Amino acid sequence: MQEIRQITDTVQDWLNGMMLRGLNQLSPGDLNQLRAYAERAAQLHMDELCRLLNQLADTGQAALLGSEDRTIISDYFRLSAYIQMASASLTE
Amino acid sequence: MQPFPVRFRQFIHECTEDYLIRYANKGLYNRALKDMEKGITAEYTWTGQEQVQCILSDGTVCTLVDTLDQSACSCPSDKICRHILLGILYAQRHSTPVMQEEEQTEGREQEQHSPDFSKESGQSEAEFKWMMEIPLGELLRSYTTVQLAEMDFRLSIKETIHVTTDTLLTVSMESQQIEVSFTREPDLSKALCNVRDNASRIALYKLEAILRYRALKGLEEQQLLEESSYSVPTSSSVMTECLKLLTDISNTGLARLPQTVIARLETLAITARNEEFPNLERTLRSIRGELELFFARHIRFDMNALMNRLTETYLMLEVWEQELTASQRAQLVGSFRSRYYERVQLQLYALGAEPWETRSGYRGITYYLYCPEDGEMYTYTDARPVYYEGNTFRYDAQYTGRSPWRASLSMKQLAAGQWNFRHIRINRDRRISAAESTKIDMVERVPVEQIDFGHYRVEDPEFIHKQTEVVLFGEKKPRILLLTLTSVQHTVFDPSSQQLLIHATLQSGHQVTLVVPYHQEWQQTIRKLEKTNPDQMSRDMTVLVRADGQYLYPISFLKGTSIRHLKLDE
Repeated sequence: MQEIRQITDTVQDWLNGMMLRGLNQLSPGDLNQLRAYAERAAQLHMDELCRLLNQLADTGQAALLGSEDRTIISDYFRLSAYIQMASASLTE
Repeated sequence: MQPFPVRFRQFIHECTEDYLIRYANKGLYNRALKDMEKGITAEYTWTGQEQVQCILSDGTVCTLVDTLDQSACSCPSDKICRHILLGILYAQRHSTPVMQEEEQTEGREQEQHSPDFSKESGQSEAEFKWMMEIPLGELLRSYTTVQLAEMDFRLSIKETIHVTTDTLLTVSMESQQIEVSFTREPDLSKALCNVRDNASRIALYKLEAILRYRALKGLEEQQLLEESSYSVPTSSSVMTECLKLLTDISNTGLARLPQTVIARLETLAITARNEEFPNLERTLRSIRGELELFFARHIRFDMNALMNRLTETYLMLEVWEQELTASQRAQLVGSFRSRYYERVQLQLYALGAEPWETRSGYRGITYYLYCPEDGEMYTYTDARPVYYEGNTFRYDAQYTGRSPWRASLSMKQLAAGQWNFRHIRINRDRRISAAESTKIDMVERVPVEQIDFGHYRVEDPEFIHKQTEVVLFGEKKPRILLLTLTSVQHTVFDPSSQQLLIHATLQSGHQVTLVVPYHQEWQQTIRKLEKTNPDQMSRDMTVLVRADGQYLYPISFLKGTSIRHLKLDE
C-alpha cells in the first residue's frame, strides 16, 4: 500500500512540475524519468499506470522528434486523471 | 397547399356534428339549427383574401375561413357564436355558389371521400390511422425543448385513458379530466380540447393525448421523447476556444504564463454562460480562481486542486468531440436549476420528518410523504444556509411554523396527516415545491398497516444493502425504507462511537440495529430512549429508516394512525 502511494505521489509531482514548466519544455531527461516510473509501476503490477506512462513517453518522444500532434496533451491529462482517481481512492 | 376554395370546402365538410358540439356546445349547436329551421338564410361571397363573407338574413355578418378559431362574427360574442355555426351548417345543407366548384368532378370525389356530416354509425379507428402513422419527429417539431421536457415528465405519471370514436377520436385522460378529440385530418392543430387554457398548454395537452394513445396502441416512444427533450447545443465554438486555451496553458507552463490568461478565462466563462454551458462556466471560473491565487502567491493555492480542475475540463472537452447521445451531452452541459412541473392532484401520506445539518453550512428539515396511488416517495425540504452571521434555523420553530401552502396549517400537523394536494408542483426527483398556488385538503388518515408500501417495505435486512443504487462517478444515495419491528430487544449507548444502538427484531424474525448518532440537540431524545425499558415500548411498530452505507438511521415510528418523529416530537 505504502509503495502504491509512493509511486502515485511521485508521478503526481512529475505532472505538477511539468505543468509549471510547460509541456513545450519536455526534455529527453523527462522521458527517461517516465520510463523509470513505468518500470516501477510494472513491478507493482499496476498495468494500466504502466501503459499510460509508456504511452506518454512514446508521444513525448515523437514530439521531441518534431511531430506536431496534440496527443501529448491528451495523454498527459489521461495520466493525470488516473493519478487523481488513484489518490482519491487511497485517501478513502 | 391547395387553393383556398378547396380547403374551405373541405373544412365545411369536416365540421361534423360531433366536431361542432365539442368545439362550441350542444346548446349553441341546437340554437343554430333552430334558427335555420325558422328560415334564416345565408349568402356567401368570396372576398379574395382567403375569406368568405357570410351575410345572414337577420343582418349578422360572419367572416369564415378554413378554421373555426379564426372565423369571426359581427355580434358582440368574443368566442364562437351561433351565427358562425349557422353559417357553416347552412353551407352544408344548401347548395350555395360557394360550395359549388368550378371543377365539378373533383368536388364530387371529395364529397365521396369526406363522410356525410349527418350522424353515421360504425365509425372505426381505422380512419384515424394517421395518429399512429405520423412520425414522432413531425409531431414534436413545433414544440420547444422545455415543453418536451415537461411532456416527458407528464408521460412518466400513470394515467388511465379511454378512447371513444365517433366522427372524431376522443382520448380522455381520467385523472386530469382532459379530453382531446382528433379529426380525421392528420393535423394536430385541428384537434379539440375540453379545457380552456392558454394556447401553449392546450398544445401540450393535445400532444400528451396523442402520445398516450400511441403508447396504448403499443408504440414505444418514451426513450425517443426523452432524447429530444434535451436541447442539444449545436454551437461548440466555445468548446474549441476552451480546448485551445487549455492547450496554451499546458504548453506554456504556469511559470511563464502571462497574467492576461485571467481575462481570457473570464471572457470564455461569460461566453459559456451565454451559450448555456453551466458546467463549463463553473469549471472555467474555478480555474480562474485557482490561477489568481497562483499569481498572487497566495498560501491557499493548491497545485493539486488546479491540476484536478484542468484535467477534468480537458477530458470533458475531449469527450464532447466524440459521438454522444443527447442525454449524455445534456449531462456534460449540466443545468442551471431543476424544473418543477404541475400535477393536478396528488394524495400524500406523511411518513416522517428529519432534521439535518451539512458541513457546508446548511440546516433544514426534510419531510417524507408517500403516494399510495403511484407507490412513490415524495419529499419536501425546508432548508436555509446558516453560514452568514445572524442566519439561524431553529428546528422546533420551523417545525411548528406555518406550511407554505396554507397559513393556518403547521408543518407539524402536515407531518402527521394524510393530504390531498391540488396543483402541486414537483420536479423529476419528486421534490415538492413550496409554490403558493398549491392547494391542500385534509383526508382522513388511514392506519399505516393498511397501506401497501411496495418496494419501500423491506423484511430482510440482507436486501437493504443489495438494492442500493449504484451511481457511476456520483455519491451513493441513501435509501428510505420501512421496517416492521415486532419488538425492541434492548437499547444501549455505545460510548466509543457516540451512538445509541437500538437492537430490534423484524417481523420476519431477522435482527436489526438502528443507530441514533449523538448530537447535543438530540441529547434529551437519546436520554429518553436510553432510559425506556424495551418491554414498555409498543410492539409491532413500523419504522421509517434512512439506509446510508451500513447503517440504518431511524426517522419516525408509526403505528395505526399515529406517528412520532424521533428527533422532532418530544
